[in-house]
Amino acid sequence: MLRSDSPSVVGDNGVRPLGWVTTIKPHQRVCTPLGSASSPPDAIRVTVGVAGAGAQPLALTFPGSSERSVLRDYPDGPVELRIPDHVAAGTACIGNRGHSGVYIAGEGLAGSTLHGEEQPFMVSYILVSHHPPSWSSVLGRVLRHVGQARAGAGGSATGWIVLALAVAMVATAVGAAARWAR
Amino acid sequence: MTTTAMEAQPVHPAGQRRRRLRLPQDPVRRVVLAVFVVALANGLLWSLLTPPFEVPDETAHIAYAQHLAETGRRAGETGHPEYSDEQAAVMNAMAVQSIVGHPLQRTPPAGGPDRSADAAIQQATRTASRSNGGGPSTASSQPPLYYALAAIPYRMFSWASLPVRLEAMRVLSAVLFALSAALAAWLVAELLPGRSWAALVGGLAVGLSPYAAFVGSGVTPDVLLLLIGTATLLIAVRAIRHGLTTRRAVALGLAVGAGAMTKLTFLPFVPVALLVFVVLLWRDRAALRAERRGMPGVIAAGVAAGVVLPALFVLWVGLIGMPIMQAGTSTPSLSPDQIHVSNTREFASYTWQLYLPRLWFMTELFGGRITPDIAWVQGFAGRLGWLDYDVAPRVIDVFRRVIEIGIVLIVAAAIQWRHALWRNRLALAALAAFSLALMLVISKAGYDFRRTTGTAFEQPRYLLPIAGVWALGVAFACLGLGRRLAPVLAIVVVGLLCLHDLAGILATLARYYA
Repeated sequence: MLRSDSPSVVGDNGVRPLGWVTTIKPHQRVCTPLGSASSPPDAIRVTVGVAGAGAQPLALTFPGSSERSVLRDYPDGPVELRIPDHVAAGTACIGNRGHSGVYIAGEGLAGSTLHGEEQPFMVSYILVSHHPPSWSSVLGRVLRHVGQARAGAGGSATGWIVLALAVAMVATAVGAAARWAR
Repeated sequence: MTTTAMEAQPVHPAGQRRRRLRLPQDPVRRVVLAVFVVALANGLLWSLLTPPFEVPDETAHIAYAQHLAETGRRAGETGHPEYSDEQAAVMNAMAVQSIVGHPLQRTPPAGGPDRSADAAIQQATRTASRSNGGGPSTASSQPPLYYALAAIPYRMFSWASLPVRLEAMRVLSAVLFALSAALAAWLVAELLPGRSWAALVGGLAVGLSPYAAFVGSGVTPDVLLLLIGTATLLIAVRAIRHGLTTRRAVALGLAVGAGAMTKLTFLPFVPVALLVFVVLLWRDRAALRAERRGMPGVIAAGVAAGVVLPALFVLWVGLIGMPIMQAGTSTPSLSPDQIHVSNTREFASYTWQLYLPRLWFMTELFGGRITPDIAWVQGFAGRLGWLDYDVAPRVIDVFRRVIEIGIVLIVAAAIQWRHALWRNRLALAALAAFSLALMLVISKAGYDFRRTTGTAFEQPRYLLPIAGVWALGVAFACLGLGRRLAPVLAIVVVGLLCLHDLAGILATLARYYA
């Protein structure tokens, strides 16, 4: 949205892809909370590694839903698993339908489950949208967010004050340049 | 109407008020004032934009300032926690620890979480202790001057919540930041006289830098160091160009003493300032003997000004029964068998690679991650927060290209203006000496830090005391296109500076609030 390096990131589950946290063995399924998103995500970005064994089919499923998507051809690194339509919240599971293990990245915090048992790690999910909200549609909400949770040191007008100061600053700088740069 | 004619008119209170509000007539002062206004707007903007505690080490600096304001003692007291109960509760309410270093985490949003955070902060303001912090921290080994200044706005708003007191301290920082940009403009005007555009573009190169504004609007002694470093360069250059006087000797002494009482990073400036002082005493000995106080009077005034703040500090810590060198915390060291043995040749290579491109015969050190691009260029382009987010990659690319073009233009300008450079060789040598001394100390600290901890030390903010040299470089680069086109290029550069700052603002909005 506001940064070109994350044009379509709309949310996450609060876990960073700091390192490999587990190997999803063939026919295993690791489930992890999806997190929250500012707008409906189209895909989950996870970081995977196949250690030279070639891409193994990865299935994204949601408990209680028959919807699924399968990713078959991908390189090591960040990959996107498409979220089926009508599913946008809860827990998402990644299953290995191949013949060798797939490393997956996250952090060493309890949160993911394997066969219903909590594991001492959590897989990182970054939620992406291929149709992110436009600049103009989010700016008002973003500016209102600026001064929140500051107990008197901000408020919903803080972002607008920032915008006004930015306009004043640019106008003064450009005006001064026009005045003196001769 | 001339100033003289106006002064001859009868004076009445309203007229006095009007005259005080008049803009300065001197073009240099007007430019300096314009730079101050722009930088102040930018500093205030960043002080509001950056969430509380999100400037590097701001948690520790606020703890230090609060402890000093509440107890009259410096931080680093053994047996105390780093944060007071109030600060710990406020940081918890604002989810600071879950945001720092987690670029995908945002500040508490509206619609419930913000109200819960507000309630928890207000509760902490009413009930939690403010004076039981002040334990060892990353800041507690530093001298107290910035924290003593920050304690003033803190006390003025002692009735309010901690975020309000924090914002009051940030406003002080924003003023210090704006003064720094104004002094940088004045420094450029000294060395490139008669070119208002040069002072303007030089000052704005500091005042519109998103990185400098981000750091300079936080609760951090780096902003006072930015101001004092720039002031030291300016005073030294003015003394070199216009001659040493008692006033300039006192100003230089006060700046050096204040810098030493602000942050230990300033210490490499002290011997260079002393050297400049001695050289000027020798060069201007005839004029100084003619002064009312004579040379001994100038020496005494300069030295006395230099030691007054350190002496007050020693007296203060003696009265409160604290050591001069206070304990701090640091990054955990590697195990003894993992620590890299120090080597002079390797240190020389490290220093070179930190500031200049690696030469063919130099080996990669510490995994080859040391380049001026990583250490400085990307940082000044906009590595913000607790080093956990950056401006957009394309902005970094453009910044890198502009720096490369700027270096070419500086070389071109140096060839065109070689006679003027030679005439100002003593001032330029002083600026180079201040810069090299600081850079050498940073590389020594960085080398030892990497050897013993395995992690990087250098951050662009450590170079802020020589921001005046950056300002001069930007203005001088404009001259590379020749006398006639230089002002046009200056307008383009001001436009680029505005866009660069806006890119940093947008990245920050996206990082914390989008």
